[in-house]
Amino acid sequence: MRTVVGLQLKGLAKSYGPVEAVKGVDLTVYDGEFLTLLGPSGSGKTTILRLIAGFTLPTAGQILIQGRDVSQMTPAERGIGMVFQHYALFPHMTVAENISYGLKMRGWPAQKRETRVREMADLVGLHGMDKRLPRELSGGQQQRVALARALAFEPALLLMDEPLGALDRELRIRMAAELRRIHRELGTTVVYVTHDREEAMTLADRVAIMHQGLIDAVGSPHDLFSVPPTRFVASFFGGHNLLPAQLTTQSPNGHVRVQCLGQDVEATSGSDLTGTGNVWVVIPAQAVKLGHGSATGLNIDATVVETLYVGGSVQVTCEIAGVGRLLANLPVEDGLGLEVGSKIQLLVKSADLVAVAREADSTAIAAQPAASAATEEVDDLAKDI
Amino acid sequence: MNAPQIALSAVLRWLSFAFVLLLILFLFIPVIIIVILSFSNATVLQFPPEQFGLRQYVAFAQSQYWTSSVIKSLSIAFPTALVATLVGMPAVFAFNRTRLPFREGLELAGLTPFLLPGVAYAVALYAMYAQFHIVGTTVGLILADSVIALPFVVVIVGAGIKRVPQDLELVAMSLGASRARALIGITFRLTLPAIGAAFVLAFLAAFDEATFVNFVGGPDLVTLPKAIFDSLRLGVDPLITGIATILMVITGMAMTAAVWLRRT
Repeated sequence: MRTVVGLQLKGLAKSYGPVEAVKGVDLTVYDGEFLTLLGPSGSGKTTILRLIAGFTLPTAGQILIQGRDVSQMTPAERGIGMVFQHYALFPHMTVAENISYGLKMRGWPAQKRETRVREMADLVGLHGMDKRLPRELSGGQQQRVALARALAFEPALLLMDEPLGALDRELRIRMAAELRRIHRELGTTVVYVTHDREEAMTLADRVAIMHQGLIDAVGSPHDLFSVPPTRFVASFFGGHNLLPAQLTTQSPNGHVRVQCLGQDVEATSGSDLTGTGNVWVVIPAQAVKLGHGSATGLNIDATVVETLYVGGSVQVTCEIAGVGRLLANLPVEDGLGLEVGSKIQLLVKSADLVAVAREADSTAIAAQPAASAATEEVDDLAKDI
Repeated sequence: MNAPQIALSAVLRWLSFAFVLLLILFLFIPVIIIVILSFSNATVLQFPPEQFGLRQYVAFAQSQYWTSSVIKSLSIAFPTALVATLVGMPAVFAFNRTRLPFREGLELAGLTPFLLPGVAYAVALYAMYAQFHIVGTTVGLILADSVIALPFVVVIVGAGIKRVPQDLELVAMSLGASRARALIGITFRLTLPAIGAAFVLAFLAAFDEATFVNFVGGPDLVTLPKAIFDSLRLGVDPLITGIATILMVITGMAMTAAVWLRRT
């Protein structure tokens, strides 16, 4: 268990005129931790990154790096390494000159700089390329240079702004593995901004999920996925199905009973639901099974709308009469034979049901496959300003 | 595609090729004739030349009238390019790297000399210069020409700085550079080729300028374009073909330099 604090945000807020981009955020990142700031475009995650880096000053609140208040310091004084989505390499400098730029600015002697550049080039796998110009490198290689440059002066904190966003899928997966390895070797505290939940899930020790200028939830990827504390975490991070339900009883051990689809079932709860009557029942697509008749689960009668073979499993979209759509991820042997329009009976075990608070509306929200989640959001507010 | 379609597209291709060729010939034939004429030894304009030689160039070099006008033009064009660059460059940086109010409006104002009718503007300038008694002064003409040269700087340096992502400055600052050092060491450094190209074009605009000099230049300020106008009034001296050829070569080289600068 980590205890030393690497970065702390206290009541951090930023307004651009009447627009509140960040609305008072508290966050603790432990020393050596890899934390992902995940949120849709316009949720304020990029603004937080720019506030931490010092490119813009907060309207209110404090930023502490290893206990030192840096809220009003210039970017140079904060000692933070930064990696941008579009690499931001200096095009007129060679790989070696790019990597040693920060060392030069910090007054390292030439000989020490040279040794360090070689170390960093080896660390990120760019051995022997130090004389090349950025335009002679591939996208992945350019991002390695950007990483080496940001880490060369041994910053206490590394900020990354969607660093894999400009790479193609295969390269993204390779670079993500590489990032994990480098983080293991150096142990630098990392704050990593992304809107891609797969990236957040695979990379991070903990994920902070941003929604409308606030942090909705913080936790390990597994905790947030299996017991989402809020509706937003369940749909945006988990990509789970949501069915409207009524809370009947809440016991202190995190177990609740809910009335859903006319059945009284037991579910888990990741947050305090006292005083809430309306809840959502969160159903992961892969928890839905074919079958019927269990007394300890939720039985669902539905009509098949579409089936999609995705290799290893079948994604079945169903319609629950009068409620809405539900996505089920069925094993190939169960899902492949299903006819569109046929009636099926589905079952979700109580252990897989989670209840979260619900506002007044009541349509079901079908699960979203990861690739399509949250890509059609408005442009990030902070990038326009 | 079937056979008639292929035949048709081939015909169209040849037609468009022929059209472009004709257009180029139309534009270049006068240029070519001037260059050929400049290597004639005749003392009157005649084509084709009877005897080739360097008479026009020798006469040009030996003429006090022409050489002093070239020197005058240079002594106007260099300071003009300098003034336009020194005024335009900081303006462009302010338009693109600050939160200056009314940036877009100011940037547009920097381009108005492109839109103003030159003669009308020159008449107005003349009236103003007469009040301040600076008609016929070198400084007066340099200032007037700088207005004409400024839009080149605003457009070219503006395009240059827009190609430098602002992230580069931010990353430099995160690496320990001060704001000034990031601006000069990264953004200004990367805009240098565009600044060089803008300087060359501003210089050419001033060197070529023939309207203002006639209004605010007075009788004694004789630049090369003015000297050519004046000499035409007395009849055509074929040594103008030599001057024209020299100008074309210099302009061509300067433009090549400008294009090359912008590419790097």
